[in-house]
Amino acid sequence: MRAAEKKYPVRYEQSMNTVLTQELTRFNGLINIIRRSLVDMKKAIKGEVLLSEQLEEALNQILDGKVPALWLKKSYPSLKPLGGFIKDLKDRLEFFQTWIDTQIPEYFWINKFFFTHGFLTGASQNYARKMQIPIDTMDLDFEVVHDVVDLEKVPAPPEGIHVYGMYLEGCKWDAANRILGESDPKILYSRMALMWFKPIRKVDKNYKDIYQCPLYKTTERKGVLSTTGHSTNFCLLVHVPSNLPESHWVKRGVALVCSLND
Amino acid sequence: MGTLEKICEELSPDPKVCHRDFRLFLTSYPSTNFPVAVLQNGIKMTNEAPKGLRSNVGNSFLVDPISNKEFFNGTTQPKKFRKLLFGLVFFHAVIQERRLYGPLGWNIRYEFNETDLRISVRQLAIFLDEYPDKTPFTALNYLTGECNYGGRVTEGLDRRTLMTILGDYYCEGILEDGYKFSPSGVYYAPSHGEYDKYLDYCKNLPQFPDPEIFGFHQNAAITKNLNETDATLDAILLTQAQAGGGGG
Repeated sequence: MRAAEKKYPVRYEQSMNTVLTQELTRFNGLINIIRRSLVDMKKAIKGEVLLSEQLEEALNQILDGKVPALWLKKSYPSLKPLGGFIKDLKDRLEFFQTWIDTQIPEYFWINKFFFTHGFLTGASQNYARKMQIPIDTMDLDFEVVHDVVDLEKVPAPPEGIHVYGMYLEGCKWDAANRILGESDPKILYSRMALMWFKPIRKVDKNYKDIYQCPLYKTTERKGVLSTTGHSTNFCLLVHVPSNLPESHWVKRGVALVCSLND
Repeated sequence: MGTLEKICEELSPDPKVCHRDFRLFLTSYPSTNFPVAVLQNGIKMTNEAPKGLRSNVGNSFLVDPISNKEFFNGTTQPKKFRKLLFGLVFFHAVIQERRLYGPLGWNIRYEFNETDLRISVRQLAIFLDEYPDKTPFTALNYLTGECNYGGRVTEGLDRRTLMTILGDYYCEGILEDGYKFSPSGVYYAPSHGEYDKYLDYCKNLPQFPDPEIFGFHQNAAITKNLNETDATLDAILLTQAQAGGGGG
């Protein structure tokens, strides 16, 4: 953590450093609680310490293959069962470890973040500071990056960020026609293409031929307002190209989600 | 039904006659012939509102104020009124049924109920009577969508969904006979007729509606069935966990 702070100090030009360290703090908190509760559990099973009510509950949840409520309190929202949760957590940690060890990624897995809003604000802030314009006159516009053959070889965009790892629920991305299309039979979720979140001035934002698609962290969709004023689940409205009227997709209940339930 | 009553009366709490673990569960459709004695001897009773689009629409026509002949026939513009009335009742059923689809339908599960429908129906009658020349669709949409039903909706995006759906039922198009509620053409507002005609139409609606009437893709049926299965299995698991806890 200290090393990461040293390598990625708080800098005016690169807000992502702050995003990174904040994320790391949160992840450390989560890992700590997981480790501590597991160690305690081992001791309790041996009979060295008292099995508290909290621990017993967590133990039962693990036996049921669920994520203990104790962990979820410190965790990002997740509906995954225990196995999926651990795998997801490992993936997330790996993503940040690579970031620490090498350099700032050229594209971002949006489903790896604890606090997605902070990450998105960081992206806007970088641009605002670079162009010396007030951040509240800015917004993000969205563009789908076409014909991606190898994700690793797409260079980082000049402004803003490349975002990957979103799923579409209720429809699919029709890569051939470059618009939203109807889902294939029996496929409930489909991957969204790589998107460029492009900071622009609010007045320039495009509202034509798009569907304002909500982005949620989990498929539960509903969230509560947190103390930061953000929803715990809803992130933002992503504009996705479409040749059908918005009402069509609204009734379909189409949304983007960061993480699935398995 | 008489036989049922007789069987029930012959059951005796005496352990020599009846096994002590014997329990009798009964389910029934609403019926006027159901023997009262059986109900009175029951230990627990639940009454569940009928599920499904068809019974929801049908039921709305059977309760006040729509079932009130005076109200139903008492408007100055019966043609418009009955078309829009049917649209409204249908809208009411659609948004309730959408809840079965989980987050795909609504982010939050709202408890829309009869009172919302009742007030909206009355407003519809008033507005049509007050403005005979031009139907005030904007006002109707606003009052019904934003105020009556929207009063329950606490999420911005759910509101967008609500207004979008309502827009399909409260619009100029519905006044024409060829207007269909969904691409399949099964659902529409019946052409002008008497009260019974509407009831008959409801009775002939499909029992299990396709997701398309809600505006969903066919896949939504899978989502809905998965949700229902999960709920059932979760409930079963719950009973098991308790049993296991007792043993351990």
